[in-house]
Amino acid sequence: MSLIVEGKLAQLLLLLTFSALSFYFMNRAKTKPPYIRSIAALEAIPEVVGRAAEMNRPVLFTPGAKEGWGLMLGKYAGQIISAFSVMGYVAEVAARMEAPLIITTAWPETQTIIADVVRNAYRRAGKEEAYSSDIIRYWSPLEYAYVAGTIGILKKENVASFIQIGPPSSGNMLILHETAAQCGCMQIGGTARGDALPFPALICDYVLMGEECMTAGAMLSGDNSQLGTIQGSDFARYIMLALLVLGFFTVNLGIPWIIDFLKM
Amino acid sequence: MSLKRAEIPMIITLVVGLTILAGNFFSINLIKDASSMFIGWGSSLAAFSIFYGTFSLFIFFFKQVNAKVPDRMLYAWTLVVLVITIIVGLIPPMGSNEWLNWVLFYVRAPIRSTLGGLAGLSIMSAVYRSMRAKSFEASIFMLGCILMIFRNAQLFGLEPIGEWIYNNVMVSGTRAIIIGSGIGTIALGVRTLLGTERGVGLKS
Repeated sequence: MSLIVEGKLAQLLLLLTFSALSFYFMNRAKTKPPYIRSIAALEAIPEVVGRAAEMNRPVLFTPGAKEGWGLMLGKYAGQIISAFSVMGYVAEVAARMEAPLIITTAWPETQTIIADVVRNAYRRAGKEEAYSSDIIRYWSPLEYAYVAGTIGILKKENVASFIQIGPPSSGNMLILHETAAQCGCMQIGGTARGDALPFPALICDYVLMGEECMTAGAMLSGDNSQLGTIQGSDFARYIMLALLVLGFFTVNLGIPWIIDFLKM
Repeated sequence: MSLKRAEIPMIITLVVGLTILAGNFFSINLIKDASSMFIGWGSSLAAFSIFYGTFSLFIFFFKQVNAKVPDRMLYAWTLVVLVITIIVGLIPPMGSNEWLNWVLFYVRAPIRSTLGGLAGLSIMSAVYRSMRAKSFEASIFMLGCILMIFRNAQLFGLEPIGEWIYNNVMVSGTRAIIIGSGIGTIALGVRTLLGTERGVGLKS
């Protein structure tokens, strides 16, 4: 019996290669900090939160609303973790600027994590006494129940700024952003789901697209070793590009090497 | 050797994460069993969290009713409906009795469909407000949207252009985003397993 599950050898080799690249550049960045271009959506967070502070209206943050529970165990865990990184930064900025903050979540298992992240953010800002458990509102893991609750907050509490980053369902992302636009909110949206990306691109003032969501936490930290992993993923992208180009030419020439390798 | 408090969660994350990852790739029964066990623990925690979430929902709505906010009757009604649905769901056979089925088919399904209809209304509103040819890029974007509308509505014989845009531009663009997100997820996973992704509940 083979040690490696059939059909997963190529995946394992690519995963190890990309991880090794991330690890190498993470260590290299300690002595040679990489240049990473700025992302407008992340640079705009203080502006978006500041608008809410000036108007004395709340900021609403939601880490996506994909229907279901136990999502932290599945393929959306990466997006949710990166959304929490941005959420911690938004909470810290809101605490410093004394802007009211509301965070809604559709996943019950994330409540305690969100409470911890937000409490630590307020502590870092020196405003621990301003933290309240009412900041975090859990609605429902059912998509449209969550949408209904969040629309209610947007309208009733007169939200000034709306930030949605994470795995959504296409329908609810559209409804929430459009409702926020009708309420006159300044918006930042982002997701790594390609089919849901057109909606924040169409409606929001700033957008985080695909991999920008995944790198948000590293960029907001400003830590060189974390930025090094972004540089590593750039090299991984070059490898993928090389595989794509080689695959295109070899398949058209009738040489099945690349396809056979990827099927190993 | 003493472990700092912050290092214990990092070690747990690393061990559990690597075990589950290895269970996906290696045909070693010990690793696969350990991986399944950890995933089972996670599922149990997620299932328990539903109770915690419902409890926190009760507390929040109760506070709103007690605080005499303007819409307190709506919050009170939501609490009543929540209690009724829980009671109905507990009637044997639990989860599939006729009362619960009635609630799901005649209350929840129409409400869900109504809210789903909002999506159509929202897209019309968003397109009407956003489709303005204010710049060259916006004009190209608007032209592409119009061609896609012609494709979906099968108007004026322009479906082949919309099909070409859909099959070549849209699909390849979506795949590029998926590849980029996948590579970014690997980098995020490395940062998370090594404990350097500081955004999630770790004190700075």
